[in-house]
Amino acid sequence: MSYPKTFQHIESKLKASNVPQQCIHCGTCRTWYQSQFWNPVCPSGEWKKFDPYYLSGKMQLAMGLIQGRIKWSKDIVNPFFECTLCGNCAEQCHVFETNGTRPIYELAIPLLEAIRRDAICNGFGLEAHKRFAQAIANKHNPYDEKHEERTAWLKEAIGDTKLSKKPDFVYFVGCTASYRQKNIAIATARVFKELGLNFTVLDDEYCCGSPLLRTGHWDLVSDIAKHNISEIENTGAKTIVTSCAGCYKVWSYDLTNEKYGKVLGIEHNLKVLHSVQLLVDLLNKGKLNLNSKVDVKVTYHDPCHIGRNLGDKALYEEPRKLLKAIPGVELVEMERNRNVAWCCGAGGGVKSAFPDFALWTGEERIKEALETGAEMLVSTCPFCWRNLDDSAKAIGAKIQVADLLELIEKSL
Amino acid sequence: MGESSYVQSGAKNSKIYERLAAIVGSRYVSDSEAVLYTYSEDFITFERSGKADFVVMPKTTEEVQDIVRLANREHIPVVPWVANLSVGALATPREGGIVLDMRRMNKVLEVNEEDQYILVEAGITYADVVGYVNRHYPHLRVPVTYAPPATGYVASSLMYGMTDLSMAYGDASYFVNAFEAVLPTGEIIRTGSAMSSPHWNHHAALPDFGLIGLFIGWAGTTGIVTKASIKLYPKRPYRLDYFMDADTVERGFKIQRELARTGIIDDIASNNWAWGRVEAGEKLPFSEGRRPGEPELSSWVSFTANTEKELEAKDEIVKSITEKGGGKLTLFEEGIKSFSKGDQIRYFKYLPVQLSNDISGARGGRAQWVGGYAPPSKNAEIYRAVEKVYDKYGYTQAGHPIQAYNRLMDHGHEGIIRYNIFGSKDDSPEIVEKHRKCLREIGEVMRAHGTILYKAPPYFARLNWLGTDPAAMNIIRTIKKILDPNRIMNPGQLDF
Ligand SMILES: Cc1cc2nc3c(=O)[nH]c(=O)nc-3n(C[C@H](O)[C@H](O)[C@H](O)COP(=O)(O)OP(=O)(O)OC[C@H]3O[C@@H](n4cnc5c(N)ncnc54)[C@H](O)[C@@H]3O)c2cc1C
Ligand code: SF4
Ligand code: SF4
Repeated sequence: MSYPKTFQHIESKLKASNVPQQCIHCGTCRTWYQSQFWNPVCPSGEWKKFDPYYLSGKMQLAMGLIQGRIKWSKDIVNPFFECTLCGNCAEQCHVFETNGTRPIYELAIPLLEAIRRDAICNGFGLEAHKRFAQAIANKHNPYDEKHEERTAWLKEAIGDTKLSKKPDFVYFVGCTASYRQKNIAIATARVFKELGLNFTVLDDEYCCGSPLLRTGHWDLVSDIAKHNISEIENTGAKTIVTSCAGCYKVWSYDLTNEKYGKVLGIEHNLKVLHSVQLLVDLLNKGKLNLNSKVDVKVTYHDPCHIGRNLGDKALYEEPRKLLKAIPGVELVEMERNRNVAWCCGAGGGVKSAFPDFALWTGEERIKEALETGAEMLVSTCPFCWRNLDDSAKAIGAKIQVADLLELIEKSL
Repeated sequence: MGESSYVQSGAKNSKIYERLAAIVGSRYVSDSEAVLYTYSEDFITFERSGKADFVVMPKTTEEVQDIVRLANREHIPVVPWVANLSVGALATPREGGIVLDMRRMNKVLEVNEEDQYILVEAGITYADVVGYVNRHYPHLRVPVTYAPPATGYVASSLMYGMTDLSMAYGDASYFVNAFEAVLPTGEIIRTGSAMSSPHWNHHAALPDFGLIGLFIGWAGTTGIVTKASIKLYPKRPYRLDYFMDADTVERGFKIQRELARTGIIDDIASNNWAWGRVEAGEKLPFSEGRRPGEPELSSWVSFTANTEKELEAKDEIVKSITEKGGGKLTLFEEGIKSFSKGDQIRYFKYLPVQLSNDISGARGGRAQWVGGYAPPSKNAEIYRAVEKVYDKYGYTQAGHPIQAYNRLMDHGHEGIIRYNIFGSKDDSPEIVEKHRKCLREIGEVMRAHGTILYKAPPYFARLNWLGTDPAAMNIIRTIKKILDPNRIMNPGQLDF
């Protein structure tokens, strides 16, 4: 029995708490544990139905790989990749140690990511992921868009206003808001400007690395992270603010020593904020005055990357606090919210490699949102926005998808 | 009978695959290595893994019929599967073939509040059914076992499950009113009242027990149940749960029996001291044996009432019997305070629950138990005999002492008792063999004391058959032959 090299950063933890051995394939990770209605939580399993698509089956396959009972093949790879890495499964698993810790809850997602890396190292990556990894290597974004057009949205956002030369923080925009959901970048920059915040945007921002980390293409992450860190440091700012849940998770969580920082040789001391944290802070200090009424009934979708993926650092209340502060907004919750929110369907490399799965997952979320009677589904992540909007359109749902910052902008 | 085109292992059989795909749609049949691997073993016990050749997920009874007809024609094994969590690997495909994952057949077809039953498709899980009833009929109660939420609700009734209402109404097979099933030759049969009436309200029909016994306890070897009508109960508004501790198993089992006879209890289950520790979060091997004052048997006693007054009256009876019997009651909420921080035990009242520590006491994620229906009066005697087996194999000395669990049911008329061995997925083949040997000897001791082993994997099933009345055995074999002439249903299990 041997652990693949790609488990290096978690091997001692896996051994200490016997993961995946402790998994007994009980399937508790398929439904919202101890909830009244036992709602399904796993997009991968609910979509494919067969056992290996739930975490229970993935654990069994992982054990088979570690024990050498099975070897990588195209078949074995598939369940690991047709999964959004949303972590809702791990959230439900209450396997516990005597001291109350929950090893599978803590280790399932790092394990699934390390397994993907091992698949890649054994030559079993997915074409779609290879393509975007190549695009990131060449053009610093997964969409294969021109790097020089990365900040093209800025003019529409703030016109000729000059960005600060001595900024308090860098607005780290991310690829999706830069190229696809420019509406979010624009709204965010306008809100910052309107509030008189002293910020800048990098001239030469690269992808944060999230798509690479999630899909096992770790080899590129170090270089792009180092580039971004150096660019940020050059501005003199010690803080970055993101409007993307994926970027936030990379900067605040993945690039720390105890996660991937050490194994990838990346270190940074930047303070990382999601825009909702920054704005809640201003709200608390009385510096964010939301005066204009926005009459709308909304429901809020928690992105996995600023939700349960962050464990006890999840940002569940900040967006809700902001929504409630907007006059006229009525917030209604979906049944699965906060730590058990059903994934939007885009993450983990699914949107590019398994577009039907991504859409189906998003449609499930849209249907849940419609059940609340909300007219608007609000989130705080451009990638969630993209997939939820695609899904709403695919089923002709009468619900508007919006980013929280877009609502804030209207209310200022 | 045409020539079989079935190849059991190795090369993929594209002809069969295509025919299965034509029945259920290619999305719901798989011969992918990943799928076959996960269905080949239960990932819990020391039972050997099998090998699936196809996994198929039918949606309708007609699809099940078509699959079975194909399999019967081609002599391909068919193994009904919901979660394979019987802790006896009863849905492991021991002789290859088609695993019929039933979980797409998970609809609730009818809830009859007046006649108090729920008609469901047979792949529905506890999570599905409890969620559905809580949402639409919150005043009704579904009997639930301690099995995880992903396990089969109908499968549990087919396997003599023990539920949280089993003291009051008997094991889970007693909750069954009627089945619809597909026979191994493809015909549909209805049993219980549904065999001769449009209603699904009762188990008895022309021959007593309405032929539901053709499927209960047969581990999927006689056909595939596709629908089941299962009894529902009113959710009473008042409830009390106690731990009832006794210094010896003799005393503990005696108080259990006396409580059972009062007719006021919903559920009595117990752990001996060692399994109790494990459930409370302690890890094996133990560094010390039974501690001074540690009860040898700790029972869970649960009862409900329609009014506060009724609850008080029942409480008084429970207290009086326990006190006279020399036991000690602790309220659930008090009792759990002494448990470690893990929260599995805290949900004990709120079934279904994840009791993975039940399996993973040594944190190795592997265990197996051997258990069965013993005369309730013999529980203590069996316990003492089994204790010696743990000693003989050195488990007690190694800090893995006897792990016992019992559930008394039907007002004390029936009950199960089971004994567990914890291992690890990292165990060497020699260690695994030792676990198997010890479990087998426990099974033999239990049989010698008149226990009928339940949820029994092949070795233990054989122990049952060895002591079975030849005339009865003859009928069992004849039924099997009539229903499944080509021995396609879950072959290798039960081992007639
Ligand atoms: C931690 C833990 C605790 C447990 N506690 C309890 C408990 O308190 N009480 C209790 O009763 N059980 C308990 N169980 C075990 C429980 O017996 C099983 O999980 C359940 O009864 C069977 O459900 P399954 O989905 O695992 O069935 P499977 O193992 O998938 O199936 C069981 C058998 O029935 C056959 N079968 C399945 N579906 C059909 C069908 N439609 N038609 C014909 N045959 C079919 C299968 O081929 C197999 O032989 C526990 C299990 C675990 C892991
Ligand atoms: S991951 Fe946890 S909940 Fe899921 S099957 Fe394994 S032990 Fe059960
Ligand atoms: S990470 Fe999400 S999609 Fe993947 S197995 Fe877990 S719950 Fe399912």
